[in-house]
Order: sequence, then C-alpha cells, then structure tokens
Amino acid sequence: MNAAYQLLIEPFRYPFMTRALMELLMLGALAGTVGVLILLRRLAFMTDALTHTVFPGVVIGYLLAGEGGIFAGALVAGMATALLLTALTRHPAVSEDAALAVLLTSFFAVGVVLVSRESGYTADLTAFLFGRILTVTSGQLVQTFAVAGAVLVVLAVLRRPLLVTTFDRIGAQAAGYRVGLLDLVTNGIVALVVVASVRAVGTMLVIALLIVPAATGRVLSDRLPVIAVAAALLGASAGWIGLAVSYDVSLHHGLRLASGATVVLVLIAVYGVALGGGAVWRQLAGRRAAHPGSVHEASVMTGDVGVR
Amino acid sequence: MTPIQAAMIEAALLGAVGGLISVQVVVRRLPFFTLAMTHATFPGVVLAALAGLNLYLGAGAFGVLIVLGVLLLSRRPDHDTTTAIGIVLSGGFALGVVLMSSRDGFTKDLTAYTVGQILTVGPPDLIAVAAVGLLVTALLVVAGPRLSFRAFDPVGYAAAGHRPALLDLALLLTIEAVIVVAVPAVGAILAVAVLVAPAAIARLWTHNIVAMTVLAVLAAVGCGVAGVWISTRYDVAAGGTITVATGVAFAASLLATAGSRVNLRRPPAPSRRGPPPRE
Amino acid sequence: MDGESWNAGGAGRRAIATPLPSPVLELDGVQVAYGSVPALEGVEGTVAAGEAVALIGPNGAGKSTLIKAVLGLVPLAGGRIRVLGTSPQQARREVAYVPQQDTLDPQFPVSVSQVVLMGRYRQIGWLRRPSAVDRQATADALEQVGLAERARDRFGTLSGGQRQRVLLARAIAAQPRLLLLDEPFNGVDAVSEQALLDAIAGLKQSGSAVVMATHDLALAHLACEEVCLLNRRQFGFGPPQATLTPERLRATYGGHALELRGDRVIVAHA
Repeated sequence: MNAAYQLLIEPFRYPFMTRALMELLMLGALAGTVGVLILLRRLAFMTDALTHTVFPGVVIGYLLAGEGGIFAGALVAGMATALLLTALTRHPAVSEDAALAVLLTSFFAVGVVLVSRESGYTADLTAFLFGRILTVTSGQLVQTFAVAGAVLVVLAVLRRPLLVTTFDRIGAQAAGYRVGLLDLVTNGIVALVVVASVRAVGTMLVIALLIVPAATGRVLSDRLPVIAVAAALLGASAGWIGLAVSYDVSLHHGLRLASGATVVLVLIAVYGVALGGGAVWRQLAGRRAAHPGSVHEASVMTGDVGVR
Repeated sequence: MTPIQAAMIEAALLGAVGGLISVQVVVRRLPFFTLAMTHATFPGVVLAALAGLNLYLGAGAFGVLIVLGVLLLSRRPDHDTTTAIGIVLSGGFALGVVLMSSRDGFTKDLTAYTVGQILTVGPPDLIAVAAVGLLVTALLVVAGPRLSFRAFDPVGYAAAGHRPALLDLALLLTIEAVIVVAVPAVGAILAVAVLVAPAAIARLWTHNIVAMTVLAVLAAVGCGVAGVWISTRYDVAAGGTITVATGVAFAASLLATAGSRVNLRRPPAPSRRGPPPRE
Repeated sequence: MDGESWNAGGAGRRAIATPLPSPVLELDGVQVAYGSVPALEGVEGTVAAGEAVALIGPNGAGKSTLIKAVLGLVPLAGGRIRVLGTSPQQARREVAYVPQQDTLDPQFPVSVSQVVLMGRYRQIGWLRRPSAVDRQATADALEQVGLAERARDRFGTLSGGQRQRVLLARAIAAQPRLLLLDEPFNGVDAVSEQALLDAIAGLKQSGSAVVMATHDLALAHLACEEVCLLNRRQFGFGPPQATLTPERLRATYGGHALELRGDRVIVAHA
C-alpha cells in the first residue's frame, strides 16, 4: 500500500504536478468521451489529420503572440481544415483519404518550415509535438475546464440526434434530421478537443487519447452508456498513472521517460489487457458468439477507412 | 559529391519510387494505413539504433512485423479498420518515443525522425533507395494487371482462383519498404506526402492508370528536387519544403483542371463494403 | 378505363354518394432530374389509406428516387407530390421510412429495443425522458413483428431478416400514416418475410398507406392493392392483375430476363 501511495499520490504534492494531473484528468475524460463519437462515426483518420493540420496554427500563433496565441492559432487552423476538407471531398476526382493525406502533410510541412527558420528548432518542435504537460498554468486549467464543460453539454443535448444519424444516416435523413449540420457539429467538437489538448499533450499524442479509451470501452461492453463512461474513466486514469509512472521512473530509476508517451503506452497496455481478457471471458462465460454474419470483409485491403 | 548533390539525387530517386507506388496507395485507399506505418516503424528504427544494427535493416524487419500485426488486427470482425490503424499508429509512435527518451539527445533524434534529414544522406542511403526502387518496379511489372484487377473487382479476382491475401501482403510489404527508405530522408509524417500526393495530383489530370503513373513520377521528382533547392536557398527544413511543394502542385492542379471534362465524371471506385450502389 | 384506372380496389366506378376520403399520397406528373439528367418522369397515381402500392422495376429504374421524392429529400423537376394534402416536407411527422438493413453497421452498440425506440424520438424530443406511452408503443411494435423476446439483444446479433423486421418495428412505433419501404424482402428468410407481411397487413388495417419498392412480383401480387411499373418513366399504375401483364412487364424491363416465383417465368428477348 505504501508503494502505491508512493507512486500515485506522493508526486502530486508539488503544485506543478498537481496542475499537470488536473489537466490530464480533464483532457483524458473529455477525449475519452468524444472518442466514442469518433469510434462510432469512423472519424479516426480525420481526427489524425486534424492533429497534424493544427500544427502550423500552433506555430504561427506562438510566433505572433507567445504562449497565449497557441490556442487561437490552432483554432483557426482547425477551422481552415474543416472548410478545405468539405470543399475537397465534393470534388469528383479526389478521394476523401487522398484529400486528407495531402491536407495533413502540406499543413504540417508549413509548420515545420516555419519552425525550422527559428533557432532552437528542435526543442520547439518537440514541445509542439509532445506538449508541455509539466508547465501547465492555472489559466490553462480554467480554459480546459470551460471547453470540456461546453463540449459535454452539447453532447448531452444532442445525444439523440447524434445517435440516430450515426446509426442510420439514410433513415435519419428520411426522418428529417439535418445530417449535414450534425456532421459539422461533430467535426467541430473533435477539432475543439484537439485544439484544447495540443498545449498539454501535443499533437502527436492527442490521437491516442481520442481513440484508444473508446476502443477499449467497446471491447469491454456492448452498451453505449457503459462504453462512454468507461472511456472517460480510462482516459482520466491513464493520464494519472502515466504521469505518476514517468515521474517515478525518471526520478527514482534514472530512466527518463517522456510523460505523454508513457500515458499512451498505459492506454495501449490497458487496451491489450481488455482484448485478451475479453477473449478469455467469452470462452468462460460461453456467451453467444458476437460475430453474426458480418456483411463485409472488414480488412485494411477493402479500403474501408470509413472517411466521411 | 556534395551534400546538396546527394540530397538532390536522393529526392529525385525517392520521388520516382514514391510516385510509382503512390498510385497503388491512392487507388487502394491506403493513405491512412501508410500514415500509420510511418509511425509504427519508428520503434524499429530506435531499436536498431540501440542495438547498433543497420537502421534500414532494423526498421525493415520491424516493419514486416507491423504489417502482419495490422493485417491480423484488422481482420477481427468486431473491430473497424480505422480504429485498428489508429491504435497501431499511436502505440508504435509512443513506444518509439519512450525508447528514445531513455537516451540522451532525445529531441534531436526525434526531430530527425519526424522531419527527416535529407541533407545528410550519403551513398549508402542512395543505394538503399535505388534497391527499393527495383523492388517496386518488379512488383508493378510482375503484378501490375493483377493489382488493377484486385482493386476494381475483388470478388471476381478471388473467383478467378487468385489469392488476394498474397497479393495484398506483397503490396503492403512493398509500401513498407518504401517507407523505410523515405522516412530518414523526409521524416515520418512527410513521407506520406511522397507516397500519396503524386498520385492525387496525377489523378486530377487523367484516369488512365499508365498516364497517372507517369505523371505521378514526374510530379514527385519535380517537387523533390525543387524542395531541396528551396530548402538550401532559404535555409529551411528540406522535408518541409518538398512537402509544401507537393501541396502547392496539388492546389495548382486543382485550379488548372477545374471544369475540365476529366473531372466531371467520378472514376469507378474500387469495391467498397456492402452491396453495390443502388440507383 | 381499364387497367390504368387510379381508383382503389378493383373493377367498376364507385357511386358518388359517398365522398372518397382524400388520398394519403398523390403523385401528379412527377418528374425528377439529377442536374440535367432525367431520372424519372410521368409518374402519376394515388394511394388511399389502408392501401399498399408496389414500385416495380429493374435496378436504376428510379424506385429509390421516387421514394426519396416522396420523403421530400430530392426536389422535383416537374409535377407535384402531395402527402396527406400537404408537401412532403410538412408531412414528415406522419411518414416513416424503412431502409434496407444491410446499410447498417452490425457492430453498433445498440439494442433491439433501443432501435425501435428511435422511431419515437420525434415525439420524445431531445431532452425528455421516454414516457410509459413511448415504452408501450415500442413494445407493441416489437410484438407486431414477432421479436419481443429479442428486445434486449444487440441489434447486430440478429439475422438479416430479423433486423429488417426491427427496422419495420421502428417505423411502426412512430405510428405513421404513410409507410415507405425500400426493398424490404431482399435477402430475407421465409419466417421473417411472413412476419413482415403480417406486420404490414396490420398497419394497413389500422389505416396507414404503404409504398414498397420491390423486385418480387409474387409478393407484390399478394400484399398490394396496386402496382406501379417504373423504368425511368411510368409504364403502368393499377391493380396487379390488370397491370402486371407480360407486355407491360416486357416494356418496363426492356428485354431483360425476369424471375417470378411460383409457376411463371418470363424471359424476354432483347
């Protein structure tokens, strides 16, 4: 028990660690929940593209207005992405995933070029890519709290339309739901969460927070409310454990572990356990097989990347 | 040869190889998969460096494992492909970061992996790219028609007695090989530009596979060489300028071909899941 | 007029003493185009309460397009559609649509009863909790398609035919006055097919009108008072007996082979 205390509670007597923890708890819970939406709507690629396209926004914002400009810069870049993507996908000769790839790489490259012009190139790049969780300020905490609150309220209010349009797009259209508008709201929410997470965990690791907890939740349960709660809890706990472990290992075992990356590894380890555990559980409980005639061969090679 | 000359040759070679394979990547809807592979190969590079092995071989061997892993993971019926890819992508990259952060000089190496170091390539790198180029050419020459068949009519392909899984594996491994040589030059994220943008650009001009391939190669080589030149002129990251060049070429092509007949007709999509489209 | 009569239910004209109730669906010279490409033209007919009409024609004939037009999802290039006396958009609350079940993700984490409850969402709104009335309507709808005992199972664990029945139950729960079905019997097993037919008959009895796109001529005969032959334009609208003649079928299908279950097979030569 003492060891657990040592690991999980003790590091957080320092204010900077406490702030880091609060930020990760909020972001983990928020990203976990929004991740369910991403999972069900098959938005993983678009989300990943967003994490790369906000990068030039982050750089430009920082160059123009220091730390405070990062959020605004990322937001502008996120919106530009959404608009360009919508326009590009209407073009008959451009497939959605090719469009995303070109957008993603071009925007990111602009950020890279800008950063490389400045001195101290490599350190800044790392900060943008992996965030600076240990230098989170109270002001940022308030901002994150506001974003999380707003997003969760919107999700709660729109939960039924979102459910219907995600499950049965055609049927929803027929029933009069504004599917295009809801797509826009969803993409906007994802963009907002990405932007809010960029400073703390960086662009490279946001995607893990958004995808893995929800995927784990899906492995654990067939029921949507359970999946959402599980994803939020997993996201938050992985933040806690990852932060604690990287602190402990860095300090007491001489091995410097990047905290963001550690969080991701914790998430994936939990996912792996869930997969393995789920398989064992199904064997033991003799549950009815969960694979009824799947209509299609769900494989990478059918190009079913489900980009909207 | 000077570093700049070597970089130009590398960019041209990489452009040619990337351009060739990009047609397959775009037609088979593999950009996201390619992105995931560039990230997931990263731990292999780090492990190879830690173990003192040749980086290309180490990354390559690891890459084979990853390809097999993703293929297996994506065959689970209750798992959609994008999620599987996303998980592999973030997990692989995080693993690489963790491995790397345990060493010193962390940030510099990470940057090199993310944005590449084309200006430090030497003859061994050029040879590696050329070798992969031969591999890609061999694949396209031997299996080109079959790849097209498989792309546009997978049911027919299997019914004709071929083994789709084998062809798929060959294609994915070849893509991985290109990634392994492209990443040291232009970095993990920007390698996707070399592997996707050329075909995306070409497709705006033509739907004919052969013409598309030629155009893709030309576009890629052009952007590569131009990118290196701009980077040395203005002292900015070469991986970045090459990619921006591809983006600009794409945008320019969009504008230039707007309203042309080629673009009024949607090309037949390779088989999607589910029943064929109704009216 | 012979087989092209619009009036419901069989031979002869009605006595004018009893005024006819206004039809649930009126199609008047309907024309739909995608850009400059005509997709449908010259569609005319009415469907009264308690009646079913089958939309029959080959793939690409415009059956789905017509359904979308009745739902108000595609604009008309000409003519008029009236649903319950108003425009399709305004009548949406009284109209329910049943898509083909294979467009849905079998892995989606939702139960059978939750799917059916979705049919009530327009009544329930965004925030209110489902009431006892809603829950009863859901249970009744499931009962009508014979799947009450599967209520708590995940939707994707059902067979294709069963899922189709659940989607019908979802429509029934909305208590629509017009029901639109897109190829409801495709790939459906015999048990589910019977259950679907029974449920549709039940809906008709309670006064709803039904429009179904189908390939199956035998079922059209069985379940529908009228058929509408379509292939980019209308080749007939009337009772099956009079309208499903070999000449009209040949004209509609334009020389393709047809299967008819039962003892008649029509093979038309090109």
